[in-house]
Amino acid sequence: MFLDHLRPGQGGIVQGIEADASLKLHLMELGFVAGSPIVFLMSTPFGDPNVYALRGTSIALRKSEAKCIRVRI
Amino acid sequence: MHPRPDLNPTPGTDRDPISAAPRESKSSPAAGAETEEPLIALVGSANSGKTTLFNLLTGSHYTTVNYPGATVEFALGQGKGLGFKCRIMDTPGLTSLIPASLDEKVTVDALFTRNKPDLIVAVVDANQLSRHLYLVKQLQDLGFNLIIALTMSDLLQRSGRAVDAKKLSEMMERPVLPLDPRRKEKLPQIGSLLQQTCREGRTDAGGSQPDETAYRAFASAMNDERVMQYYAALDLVERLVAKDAGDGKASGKSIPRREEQESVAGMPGTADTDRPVSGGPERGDPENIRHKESGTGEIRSGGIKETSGGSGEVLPGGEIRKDDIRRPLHGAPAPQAVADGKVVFAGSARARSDAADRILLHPVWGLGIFLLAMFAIFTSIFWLATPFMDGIDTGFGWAIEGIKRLLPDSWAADLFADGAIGGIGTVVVFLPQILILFFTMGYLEDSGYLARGAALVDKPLSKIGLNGKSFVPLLSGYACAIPAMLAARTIPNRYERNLTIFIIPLMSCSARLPVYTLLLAFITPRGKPWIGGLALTGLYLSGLVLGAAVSTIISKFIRNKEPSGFILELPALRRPMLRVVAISTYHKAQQYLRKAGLTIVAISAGLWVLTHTPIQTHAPGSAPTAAGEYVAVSHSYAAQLGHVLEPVTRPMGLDWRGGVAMICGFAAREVFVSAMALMYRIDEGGNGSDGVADRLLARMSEVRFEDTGARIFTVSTVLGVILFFMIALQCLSTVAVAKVESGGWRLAAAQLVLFTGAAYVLAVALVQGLRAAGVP
Repeated sequence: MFLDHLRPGQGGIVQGIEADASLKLHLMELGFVAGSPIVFLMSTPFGDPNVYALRGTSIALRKSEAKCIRVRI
Repeated sequence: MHPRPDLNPTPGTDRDPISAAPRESKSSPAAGAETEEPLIALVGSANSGKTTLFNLLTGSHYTTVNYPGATVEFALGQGKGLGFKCRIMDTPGLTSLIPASLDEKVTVDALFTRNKPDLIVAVVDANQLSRHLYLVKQLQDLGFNLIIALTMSDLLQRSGRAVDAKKLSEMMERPVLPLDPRRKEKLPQIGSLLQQTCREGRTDAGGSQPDETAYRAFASAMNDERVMQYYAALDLVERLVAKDAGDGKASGKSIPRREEQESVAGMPGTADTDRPVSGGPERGDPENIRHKESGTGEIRSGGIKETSGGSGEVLPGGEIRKDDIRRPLHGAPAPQAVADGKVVFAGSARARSDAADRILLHPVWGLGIFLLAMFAIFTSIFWLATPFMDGIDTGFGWAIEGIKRLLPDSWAADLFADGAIGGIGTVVVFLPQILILFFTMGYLEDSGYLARGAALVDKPLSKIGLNGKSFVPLLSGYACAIPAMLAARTIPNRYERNLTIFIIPLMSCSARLPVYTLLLAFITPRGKPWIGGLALTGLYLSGLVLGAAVSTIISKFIRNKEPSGFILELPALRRPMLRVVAISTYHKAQQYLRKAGLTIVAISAGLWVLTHTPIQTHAPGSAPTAAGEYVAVSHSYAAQLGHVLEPVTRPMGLDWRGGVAMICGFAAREVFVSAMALMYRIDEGGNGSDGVADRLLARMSEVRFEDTGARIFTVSTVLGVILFFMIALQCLSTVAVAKVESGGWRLAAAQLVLFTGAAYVLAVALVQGLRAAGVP
């Protein structure tokens, strides 16, 4: 499943990224590498982007980007 | 080719010709000239505590071209209290040496070309070690001489965790400088560490500096696998340097120790990637591999030193279930248990920040707070500033009168008093407003709220062709369009960036404030400043609405062909450090005064001469001795210019004098006010003890057209002028910056022609329409 399917408060582990090369590299450099625990913290008032907890920080991602990140619950 | 500088270089070994070259050949860092003072660069992610450290090292004395929300320019200062002379440079936030946006590219370029540092202080937030050490690893692999500054340990301690700095230093093989804001820092000690490390990094000491060639090789070798390897190695570091905070109350659980190998094998991170940590990253350049093993039996893994049998402190031992996620080391908003989609947050360093975020990003509260915050900023600019502005204005009124009384009655005294001092007065008078704007924006930025704001407005902005990351540039546009356009570099998508740059001039920058303030004071009733405040807020909103409309129209006709996205780190919310905000506000205000002040004094003085010359009855070269002998404005050079312009300005309701003032506004908008004062000769009438603005207002209500005798400044005229100032692109520096930032004349020329043209047409239409409707 993908990151955009998590419910608020739900956590998972990053499995990989399915996106074009530059977005993939960028996400990985930010810490979205396989094996990283991630939690869907909360959404924003307009429903997009969502905020995720990763490696000690919070990162806001649009759903279109969350859709590229494969996670395991 | 570029061996990492070794702490204990063995003479004669592994020296390549470049590093053995004489020091003089080294490209000189920043600020020109060959100088022996080493350059120390602070590098790290945004919000890693760089600026705090910078203020500490420089004693808060620095020069900068920064504006709130736009740390795109470098701040440079002299090291202070460090025991040796050095220059210290603060750089914009950086996540990786592979830039994801233009602002990151600028920083990366600077490190390799313009401002090669002798030493990099890599600032690392202890709460997100792996993410921040990622950049450190990259810098290290490229061969930079660096030390690691560890910040935010106090925050980490709230969750009962700590970082073992000694161990971190051992593993990264670089000195680690733990910074604790609560302790009085020992500057001389920090200084001697910096000095020593600087010296060791010098070329003549065996160090070398990576150049563009090395960078290109590094960048082209960067790929997914490399990132995985970096993180595998850094995850290990993160785990091994973690310890319970020494205050006893820690996590309340004893953390069982395990054998290193066991814990590595047990970690999902390494298991999933199926990659042994010891097979760490290889350098793109084979020669770049660590050239010397120290021979203590340590295993290298991607430059990370693993001490065999190290004290691996891992997650609460027996509790590991198959589906348990790894307890992130210091793991901020990390779940302690994940079961049935329920996450328990407790004892996490970011628990408080997350709790606040639940309100700040709440569908109802979040939106309400956002609107309230914006409203508060813009109304405070008017209400809070008014008493200060009145005081300053009156003060300058007295100063001008005083100077005229003290100095002998001559043209020079008048030029000095009315031209120079009067000109300065019109700048200084709105300093309170500038300070409030800069301070509130700096405050929001330092608190971490601006990032929330950007995330909040991303969706609506994406509907009109912009991006959540347009938020900070647009907000900065209310201070000044130039730093705002530089701030737009943070928008990765070129289309969205250019569209943002395009509409930035429509935001009411601070240079328009004095114009609005003057004109609104003229048409709103006295004694009721709240009406003026509301009107000003309305003007600010109108700029935003207009910008949104323009953006919507453009995005309907020109499509964004590149993929759009929004990835933004939300730093932990914190109480802003007032000192830091105050210092940066001071610097910005100082810079503003210097820049605007020079232009305004020059133009005011020039205009004074134009309005007082040619000299009527005197021989060329000699000057009149009394004010009464000046040429009438109507016969001055300025008048000759004004009469040429009158056909253009008359439809807007302005006579030639107002027209000249308007033209002066194209040098800098705020000059309009001082130009008005000179053109309408406020020195000729009114009560001398009144402030400049009061006298100007009085004068405005009495001046009449020379031909028809009708009053010039009526409600319709004033509204027309306001509308013109709202839309017209009158700032030539903005045009120049727009050209550079958009990468061509097209956008800049379109802005200049479209905005100024539309401003004129609409202003004329408004004035004529109002008059036709019977408005005076």
